[in-house]
Amino acid sequence: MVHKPRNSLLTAGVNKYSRSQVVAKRVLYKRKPAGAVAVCPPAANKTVEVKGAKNGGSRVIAAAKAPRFYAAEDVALPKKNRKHAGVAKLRSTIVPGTVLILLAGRYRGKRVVFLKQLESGLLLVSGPFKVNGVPLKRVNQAYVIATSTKVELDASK
Amino acid sequence: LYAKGRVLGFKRAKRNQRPDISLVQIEGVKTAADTEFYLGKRVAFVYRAKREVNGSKIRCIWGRITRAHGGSGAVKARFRNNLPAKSFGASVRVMMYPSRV
Repeated sequence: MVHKPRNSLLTAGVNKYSRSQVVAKRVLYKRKPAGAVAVCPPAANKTVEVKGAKNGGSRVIAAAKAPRFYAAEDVALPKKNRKHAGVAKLRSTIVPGTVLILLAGRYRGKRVVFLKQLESGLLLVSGPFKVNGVPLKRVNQAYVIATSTKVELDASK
Repeated sequence: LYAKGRVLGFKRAKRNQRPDISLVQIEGVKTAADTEFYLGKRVAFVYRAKREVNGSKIRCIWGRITRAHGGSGAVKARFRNNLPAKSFGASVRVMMYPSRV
């Protein structure tokens, strides 16, 4: 539950409300902690009957298996990267059906039909293959010149 | 798929030069207003060497056009590694990407 800040800073290290005042603001004495979210009962260990005279009758199989491999030394895990570049905005001149000119790559110089923008931001593009040998392909917007020629596409993509 | 350019020299004052930025003249670009299209475009200085590297004797220094230079269409370009002075007067390829069109 997000709330306006209950405290504020007067100067470095000095807050407007003392700790007990902030606690009183939170009215903790009236609230019950939400309590542990209902935890699924841990999978129970299975007990299995083992047949055969010498095998000791029954065996307990742990529901959570111990790992098969322990690293010899503790290795620090790299920190997870929380930064993701946003998806590039589609240029206003690029519309499904626009003929584009590829500027780089194996098919540089080819004129190609724009189909749609994928979630990664890349443009899905096709020759069409029968026409100029450019297959279905992903291409970055920066490596493409949009022409004013547009082609009719039927919506069954 | 590129525009031709020539390396004019390093950025310089009368008696000192700064080799980190090279001046490039793009063919057909005559005014500072015309250079606006080329800003940000990548530039390649392609040259040959005697020793093969990665299977080829042709090598390349990449850079980008950063800003106009003067009023007559010259342009400043910064390369990943500074251009060698041997490149003055040599051709340079001004690619059409990253494209803003």
